[in-house]
Amino acid sequence: MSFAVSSASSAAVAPALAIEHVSKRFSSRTGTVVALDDVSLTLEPNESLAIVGRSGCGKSTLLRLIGGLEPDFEGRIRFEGQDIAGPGLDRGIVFQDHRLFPWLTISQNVGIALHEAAMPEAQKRQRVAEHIELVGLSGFDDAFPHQLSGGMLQRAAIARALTADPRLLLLDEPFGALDAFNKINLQQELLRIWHVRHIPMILVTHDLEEAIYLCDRIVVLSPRPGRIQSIVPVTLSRPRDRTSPEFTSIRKELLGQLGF
Amino acid sequence: MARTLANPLVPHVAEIGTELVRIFSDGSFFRQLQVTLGRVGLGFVFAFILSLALGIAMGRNKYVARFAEPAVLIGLTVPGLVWALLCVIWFGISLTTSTVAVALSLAPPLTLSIAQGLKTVSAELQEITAVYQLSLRARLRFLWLPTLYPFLLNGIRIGLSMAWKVIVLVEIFGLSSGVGYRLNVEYSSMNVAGVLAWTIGFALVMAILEYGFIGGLERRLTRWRRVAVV
Ligand SMILES: Nc1ncnc2c1ncn2[C@@H]1O[C@H](COP(=O)(O)OP(=O)(O)O)[C@@H](O)[C@H]1O
Ligand SMILES: [Mg+2]
Repeated sequence: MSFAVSSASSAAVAPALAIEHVSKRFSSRTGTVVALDDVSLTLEPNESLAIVGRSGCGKSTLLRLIGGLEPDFEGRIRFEGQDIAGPGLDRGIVFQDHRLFPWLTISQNVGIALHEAAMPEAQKRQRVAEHIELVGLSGFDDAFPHQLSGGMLQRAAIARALTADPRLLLLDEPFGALDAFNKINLQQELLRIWHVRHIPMILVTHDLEEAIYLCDRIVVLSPRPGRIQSIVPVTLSRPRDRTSPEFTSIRKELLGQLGF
Repeated sequence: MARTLANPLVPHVAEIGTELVRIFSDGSFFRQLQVTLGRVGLGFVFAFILSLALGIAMGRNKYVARFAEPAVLIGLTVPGLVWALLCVIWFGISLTTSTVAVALSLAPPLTLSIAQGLKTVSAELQEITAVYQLSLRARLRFLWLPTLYPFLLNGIRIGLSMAWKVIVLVEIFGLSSGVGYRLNVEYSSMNVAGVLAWTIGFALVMAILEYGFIGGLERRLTRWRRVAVV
C-alpha cells in the first residue's frame, strides 16, 4: 500500500541546503545591479561544492545570502528544511580577509564563536584549544594577529568558524590572498579537516585548480546578471593529483566554460 | 623676571618656593587635592557614562544623532565659567554642584569624540559579531570599546584639562574646600606667592596623572598594536 512512498529512495536523503529561484538586486542612486538571477541549487549532506566565475558575477553575494548576511532577496533558501533568517552558529563562515579582532589573542578570537554558548568555561577553553590544534596553530594561542603570517591567520579564521560546531562551512576565497605554497598547504589542510568533520561545505574561489582539488561539484556562474551557467561534477578519487590528465581536462573544460 | 622685579605682584622665586614647601609639608595641599580630585572624579564618572550611552546611540542611529547634535554643539560652546555659575545658583553648596558642573562641561566633547569614533567601527568585524550572535554587551566589549579606546583616551585628556578649570571656578564661587577654595583664600589675602604655589602644585599633579595614569592606560590598551621599527 505504501510502496510508492518507500520506493522513493532518493528522497530519503534530504538536501542539506536548498536554494530555490533566488534573485538578489542591489539598488543605489546610480542604478540597480542584478547580482543573482533565478539561482536554484541543492547541496547534499557532506558534499563539497565550489562556486567559480569571473569577478563580479555574484559568488560572494550567493555565499552571503546563505550565511544570512544579506536580508532582502527573492526566492527561498532553506538550510536543513528551515528558511534562513539571518546569520547563525549552524553555519560557519570564512572570508578572504581573516576578520580576526586585532586586539584579541588567537585563542580569544577563536573563543568568540563560543561566547554566547551555554557551556561551562572549562569546556569552552578545551574546545578552543582543540580547534587551534586542529588547524595546526598550537603554541600561538596567546599571540596577537599581527604576530602571525597570512596563512596562519586564515587557519585561525577556519578554527573560529568550526569551533561552534556548524553543520555547514562557507568559505569566500579563503586562500585568495596567500602565496602559492601556502595555498597548496592550506588546501590540503582544509581537505583533511573536511574529512574529519563530515559537514558540507561551499567554497567560493576564482582558482580553478583549488575548486577541482577540493570539491565534488563545481558551479560555474556567468556574470551580469549572475546565473548558473553549468555544474561540473568532479569524480576523481582523493587525494587528487593536480598534474593528472583527468585533472587537467576538467580544468580545460572549466576554462572553456568561462570563455578562455 | 621674578628675580629682578622685587614687587608684590610678581613675587620672588624663593617666596614661591617657601610657600610650596609650606603647603606640602603641613599636609594642606594633599588634603585639598584629595577633595578636588574626588569632585573631578565623580563628575568624570557621570560624564563618561552619559557620553558613552549618548555617543553610541548617536553613532548608531541617525535620528538620535540629529536630535542630540544641536544640544551637544551648544554644550560645547558654553564656557565652563557659565556652567560653574549656573550650578552654584541651582544646587548651592553641595557635592551636586561640582559633579554636575564637571559632568556638563565634559560630556559634550566626550560625546562628540565617541560618536565620531563609532564611525570608524569596522563593518567587517561587525558582521563577525552578527555571525556569532554576540549580545549587545559582548559587542560593546569586543568591538565598540576597543575601537573607541583611542577616542576615549583623547577625550579623557581634553576632559581632564577642562575639568580642572571648571572645578576651580566652582570651588572659588561656591565651596569652602578644595584647591580652588584655597586659591581664592590666597587671592583674598593678596598672597600672590600662595596663588602661584597652589597653581604649580596642581599643575604638577595633573602632569603626573597625564604621564603616569593615562599614559599607562594607553600602553596597556594598545599593546596588541604592531609597532614599526624603522
Ligand atoms: N553591497 C552592495 N551594494 C551594491 N552592489 C553590490 C553590493 N555587493 C555586491 N554588489 C554588486 O553585485 C555584483 C556581485 O558582487 P559579488 O557577489 O561581490 O561578486 P564576486 O564575489 O563574484 O566577485 C557586483 O556587480 C557588485 O558590484
Ligand atoms: Mg567576491
